Amino acid sequence: MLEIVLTREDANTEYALLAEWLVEDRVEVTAGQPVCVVETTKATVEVEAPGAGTIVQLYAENVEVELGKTIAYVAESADELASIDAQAEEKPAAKPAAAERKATRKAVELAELHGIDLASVDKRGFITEKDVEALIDAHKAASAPSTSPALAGVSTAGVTLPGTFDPEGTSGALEPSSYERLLREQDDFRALPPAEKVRLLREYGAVVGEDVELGEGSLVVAPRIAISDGVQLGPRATVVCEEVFAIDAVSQFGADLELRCRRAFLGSGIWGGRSVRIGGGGHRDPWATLTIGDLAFVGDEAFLNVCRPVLIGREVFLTMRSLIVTHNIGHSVLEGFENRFAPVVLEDRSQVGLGAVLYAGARIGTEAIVASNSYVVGEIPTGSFAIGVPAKTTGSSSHKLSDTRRLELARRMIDDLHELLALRGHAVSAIDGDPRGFEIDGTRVCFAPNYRGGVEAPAVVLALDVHGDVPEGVAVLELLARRVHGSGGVVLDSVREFCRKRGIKLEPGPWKYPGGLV
Amino acid sequence: MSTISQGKRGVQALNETLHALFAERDDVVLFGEDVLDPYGGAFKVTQGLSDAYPDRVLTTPISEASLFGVAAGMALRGQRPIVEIMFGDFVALGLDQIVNGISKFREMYDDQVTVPLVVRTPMGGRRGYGPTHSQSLEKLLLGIPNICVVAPSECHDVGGLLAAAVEDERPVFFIENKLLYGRPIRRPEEGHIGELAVRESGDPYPALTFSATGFSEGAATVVTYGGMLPVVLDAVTELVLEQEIFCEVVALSQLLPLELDAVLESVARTGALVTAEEGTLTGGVGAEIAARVQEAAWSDLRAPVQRVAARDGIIPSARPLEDDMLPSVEDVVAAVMALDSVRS
Amino acid sequence: MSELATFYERMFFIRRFEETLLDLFSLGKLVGTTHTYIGQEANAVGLIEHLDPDVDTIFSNHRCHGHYLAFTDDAFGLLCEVMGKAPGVCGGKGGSQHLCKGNFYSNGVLGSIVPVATGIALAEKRKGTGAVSTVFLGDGTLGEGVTYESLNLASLWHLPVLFVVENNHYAQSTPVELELAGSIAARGAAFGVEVDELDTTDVELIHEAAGRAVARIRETGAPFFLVLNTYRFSPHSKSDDQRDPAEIEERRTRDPLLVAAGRLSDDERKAIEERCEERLAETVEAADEAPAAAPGVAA
Repeated sequence: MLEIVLTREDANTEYALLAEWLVEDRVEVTAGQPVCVVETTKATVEVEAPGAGTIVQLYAENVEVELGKTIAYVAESADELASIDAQAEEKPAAKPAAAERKATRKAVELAELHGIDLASVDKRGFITEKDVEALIDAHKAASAPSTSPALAGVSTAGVTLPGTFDPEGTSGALEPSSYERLLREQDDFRALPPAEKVRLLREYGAVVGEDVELGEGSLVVAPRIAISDGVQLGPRATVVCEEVFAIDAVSQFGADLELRCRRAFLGSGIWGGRSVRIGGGGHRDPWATLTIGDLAFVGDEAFLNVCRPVLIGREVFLTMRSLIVTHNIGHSVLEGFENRFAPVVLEDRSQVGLGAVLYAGARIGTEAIVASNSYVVGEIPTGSFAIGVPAKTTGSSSHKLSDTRRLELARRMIDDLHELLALRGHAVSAIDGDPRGFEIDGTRVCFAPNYRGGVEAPAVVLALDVHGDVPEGVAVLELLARRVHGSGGVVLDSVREFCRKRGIKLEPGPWKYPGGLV
Repeated sequence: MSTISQGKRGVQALNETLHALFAERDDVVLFGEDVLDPYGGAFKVTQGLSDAYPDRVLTTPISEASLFGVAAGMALRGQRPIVEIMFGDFVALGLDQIVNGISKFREMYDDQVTVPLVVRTPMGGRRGYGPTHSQSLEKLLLGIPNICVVAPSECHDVGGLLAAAVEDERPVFFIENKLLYGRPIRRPEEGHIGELAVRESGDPYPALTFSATGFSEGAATVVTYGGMLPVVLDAVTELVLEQEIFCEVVALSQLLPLELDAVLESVARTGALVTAEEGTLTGGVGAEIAARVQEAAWSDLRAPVQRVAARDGIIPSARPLEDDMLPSVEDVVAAVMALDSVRS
Repeated sequence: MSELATFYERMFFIRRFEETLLDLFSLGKLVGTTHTYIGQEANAVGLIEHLDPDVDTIFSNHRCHGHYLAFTDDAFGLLCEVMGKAPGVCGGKGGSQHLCKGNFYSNGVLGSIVPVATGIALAEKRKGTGAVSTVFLGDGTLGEGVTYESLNLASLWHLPVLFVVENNHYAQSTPVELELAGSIAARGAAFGVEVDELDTTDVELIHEAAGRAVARIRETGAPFFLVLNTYRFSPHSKSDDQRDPAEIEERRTRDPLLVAAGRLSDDERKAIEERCEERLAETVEAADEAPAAAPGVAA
């Protein structure tokens, strides 16, 4: 194999211009044949092939080449050509130069997290995290429903409103005299047995679904009442709304709920703890609207002051003793003290830690996390982690998982589940087989990264992806898409509950999570 | 007179400008060691010039000390001499002429004369030339009143600056970083160079201010010049891409008289300053800039000024030793990160 | 008036001007320092007679007053300059050693001026003015390397430079034997430069030799190296004189003024001297009354 080297002839010249190739790449050349034109600061010279063979060019035309570099090989045999090719493949791909990159590391990570194509960022200059956030917000704004007057102009970007949101509707409107009577005779209503309350509300014109449980001593008063199937309100709950109370299927609140506001639109599958208080000063204000999205979690002793809209998105986690205020109480505004009335918004999948306070005007971005005991004033950006008093963004709420790591975490779930069941005293077989798993009560529980069938019923399969149909007697939990395929009994409920503890909430319902074996 | 430098290598832009200047003005003469064709100068800047103008390009003995004086004499008598000093290190041989003659004649003689000469000389390392052929000695000139020190970077109109130097009535020391010769010149297009927004001051020797945010925010200002600009731009780009720390960069081309308007304007936005130069640290360009900025803009500064420079020592010849000695991208990044205002 | 009378008048004026400076210095009317030309007057007067102040140039050194007066006849401008007065030829900025007027320049660093004078010659040659660039060196200047670089350049490039070495035998306080090896004249010859050497205080002989030198330059365009062996009676600057008084006394017998005066009638000489004294007194009076140089004060 022969090399064509740009020779260095002058101590002060480091580069030459490879102006032009006189032959095509990978053609036969003969010894002495001019193959390219090189311009140095001194002269323009033709470089000749050092021998006969196949030329393999290593540089494009019209580029500066450092003197002393090999610009081409001349392979004298097919073997040599093959070895040149092999060498070329071994070379690791060059790291792109900083100058060729345009998007920051943070921007790339956030874009990947949200499936944003960075090519769609229309900008001269660097693409930063802020640009990607703006794009995410723009997407949200584009997909958000038009703002209702009941929301007093609050942007619903990033908030999936519950299906019950219908401020102008009439569904569940009580006959006016019935509403008056209900309002007057609250204590009598409280004293009625749960089933009687349901019957009475229906009679008055309210929409009340099946299996609705209005606990002992509970009260529901509003000019419009719509309660979907399976809703449960614990003992001595108090719901008093000036316009409308609507709650979707299988949502439940524990004992001693107190809910007072102008409008309350609650979604499905909401889980509320005990002693949740919603209301406070100004709950009758024209702007006192509460929305809580599907699958949201409201922890014990949470307090939501609603005199301006409070929007809680889908799958929001508002943990124990969290506090939301939409106004402050202070001294005279005419003496220069702050007098603030402002909405509070928690965008979808955001989380608020124990005992955190969200001050009037707070907005928690999608998938952002606010640490326990933080005090939030203003906006917490999408996807960020904020902590402190006042809360400051210190990083991202999640980190990017490699495919390998994700697979590893999913695979380990089978082991963890197996260990849990065994420790709880259930008879489980040893882990084995492919797909890897075990048997409990005659049902196979296993993990198949990509489910394509081939697991015999009865079985519960954990899978990252699902291809094709799921046969009778087999339930597949599609972990990434968070969907359940097929049906099953107590084992499926157990696995579903196990997943829920890991933040994987599977659809479709039921949302009662009886827990089963675990 | 201005030439279009965009995309040309530094040596090309300078060479074409010299040809244009010679064509335009009969009073321009050039002399230096080995400048005649076909050799055309050690770095080939004067290529073709002596063939075209044989009586106006003089090759000289190795007598730098006298060449400065000869140029001064010619300038006193109305000519526009351009002296090429083959390596900037050799400027040391002419310091008497610079200090006691060239810089003094005009003011000492009560403005009866001017000394419009240009000294062109390459400075800088990163080519393994060793201790006496790699220095950045322009800082030695900074304490000399009444001269002008100009150091173009690869983002300046290199040819235009040289033309301005020849038109200048003051003695101009035109510092050409050696790496500039081989690198393509990158001029702003639509206010941008790459991803960075760029503003250019209107002086004859402009300062360029770069921003990664369109001048809306910045964590620090990095002021630099000449051959350090590409190093600083790489560092600033890395800070943006890896950490989203946005710095502004000011690339001066006029080091003396030191005009810091662009720096002060930038520091007013960023509140912090890092100086970066290829020369050694002590008594350097950065020291003077730091002193002046703290005098003029103390209330704007949120952190003490950081300086990046070569270590106070010789520039070794071996590449790894030279790399260790000269300021690097990492050094600039570290200096920005070390600013109190960035660290908190 | 005869040529010699003219020479005498110029020399006498320079002598008295320098003596007056020393008096003024004692009276505290001079700023800084001064290097007088007393004893060397014949060199300046004899040589500069051949130069055209409108065409030719002079670059002189720290001991420049004699050259300046012979070339420009501007006693008031020089005296004001030395006294730190606003009408000084450089507004009081230059002082004794740093003068500039028309085609006359001087600077205070030994050797420094030689390449500049070479550059001036190069410029004038390019312009085709026919100017001769004269540079005044001393024995001390021969210790500076740039002197030889300049000789090399001037010879190499055929530049019209007249190198005048006024060997007054002392570099400040150091006698020439302790600071110079070899021959002075051979230094010029080594570079292929035509040389002439004189050892006289006779202004007429100097005038004649200088005339030949300048004519050669005008004729060939090439440099000339003229060595004038001479002596200064006064100290290097003021009180820094360690020389043997007997040596000075012996030299004073060959005072260029005495040599020239011997060839003039007493009446002629007295008339010249009176004229000079009168002019000098007027100059001193005017300079004394002139405003001091100060920031913001124009001449």
